[in-house]
Amino acid sequence: MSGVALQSKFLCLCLIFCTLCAGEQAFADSGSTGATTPTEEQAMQRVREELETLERRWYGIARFRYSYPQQLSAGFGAMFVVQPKDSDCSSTCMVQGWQFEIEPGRYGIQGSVGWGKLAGETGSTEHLMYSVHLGWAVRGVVLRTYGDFRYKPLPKTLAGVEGSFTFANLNFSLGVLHSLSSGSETDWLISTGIGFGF
Amino acid sequence: MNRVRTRLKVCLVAFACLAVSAPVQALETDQFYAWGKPIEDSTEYLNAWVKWQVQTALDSRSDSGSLDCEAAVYHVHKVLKDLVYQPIEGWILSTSLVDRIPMGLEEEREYREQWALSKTFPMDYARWLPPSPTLQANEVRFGSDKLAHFFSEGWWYYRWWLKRRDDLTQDELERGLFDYGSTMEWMFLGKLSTGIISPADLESNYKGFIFYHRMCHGDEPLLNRQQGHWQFSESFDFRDYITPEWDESWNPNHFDSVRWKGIKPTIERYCPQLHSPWVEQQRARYKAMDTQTVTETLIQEEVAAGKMPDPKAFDITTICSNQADSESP
Repeated sequence: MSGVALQSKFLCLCLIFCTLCAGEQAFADSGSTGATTPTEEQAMQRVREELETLERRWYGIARFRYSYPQQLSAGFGAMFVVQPKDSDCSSTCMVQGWQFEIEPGRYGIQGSVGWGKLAGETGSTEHLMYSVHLGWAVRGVVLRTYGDFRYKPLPKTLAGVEGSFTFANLNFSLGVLHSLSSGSETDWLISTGIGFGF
Repeated sequence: MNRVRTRLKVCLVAFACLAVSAPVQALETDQFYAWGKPIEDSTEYLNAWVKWQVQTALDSRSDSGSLDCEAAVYHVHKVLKDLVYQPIEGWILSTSLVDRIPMGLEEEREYREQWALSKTFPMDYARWLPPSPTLQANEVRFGSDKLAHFFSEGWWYYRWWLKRRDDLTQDELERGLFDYGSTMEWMFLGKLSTGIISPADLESNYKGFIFYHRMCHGDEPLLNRQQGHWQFSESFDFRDYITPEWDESWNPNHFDSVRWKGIKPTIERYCPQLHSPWVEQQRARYKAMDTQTVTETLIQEEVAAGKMPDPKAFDITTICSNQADSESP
């Protein structure tokens, strides 16, 4: 029995050795992996299957910025996307979808909901888009201010639209908000910010 | 109020600068890194992706049959072209079907540490976007950024051609397209943005133009109307477009002097591999496939006239030959 087992192991080793040699030869000849190249029909079937088999996913998004009027703030939220099931975002992928973000800051807290598109990567985190190479979003925002803002009194609650643009993780944002509070000194406010993230 | 206006102006300028600069920030690549490493040929998958995207776009419009051919091409280009990351590149980077180097997180990290531009200078903005991987189609290796150029700048070339085709001769159109592409390469896509002029990018731009041109023109246009619906021809094949000129280890870039100090030692590391059986075989295959392209002819004219730097100084054979000379006693 042990002789048979030994013979099997020897045959296995021979087989592995031959396979490796054959692989090396194929590599030396063509520089390919030696895997079978699909036919035109097989390739179309696999591509169609991949592109049409979609699933819903979510990715965490975050940004840290210096902005007016919040000053230092940190935002956390999520983006909901539909993408091919086999799609891997660990290196880089492109996604688009609805998103929300809650962003508390020194002089206010902002909530936003909008739609955006980005090319980014999750690395080993699986769900956090920790690096955004390029992305943009348009969001409806509600801002509640607090604290003793040193420049001038601010309306307590504002609502408006914000555009956010990220390139190589550098985020720029610009918003136009209108006061929802009565009796405030100014009705309109331009919010601006620069920071990291999306 | 003045403060708000000033702030608004500053932000608008910053936004405008970003909006202009970001889409034209070119992605870079390194084919030397993939030397000797096996990559499966992806021609059929790439062909299938294009056929699926184009036909799906055409089928998505119920009135597509009523469009004229140029309008159908305009409709189709929207699924093939985007901002920095073109849809085909986004797919290549996240699919398991297209074999590439690097593929997967660990390989990606190693690539970013070792690729040609990895040792230029701290905070080099040419490295702000990750480098494109190398894939293989039609037995040619190239960065996935070439397919981005193919569909993106190829479309710009085509728009340029459409506006001027009735006013210029064939030669003037070819020269004009080259000048248009060169200006982009100097101003936005290369020299100013990353300090790199890439003849391989210009090749893929032009081939992209040929692709869009063949949609409606030529003896057998790629788009044809059947029973009131536009159909994309099954004859489309990347083998008609991809040539060794897309491989930056064969068709070298021109690098600016500041970056070259960091790039040169990295490329010199590949000198021992230059005469390995794998590289010699690849270069022999390329030599057999290589033809004199329109872009190459025009580049040679520009170099001869002193209007463009000669990329041959950055050819691996020149680099290794100089290295051998400097090391000899």
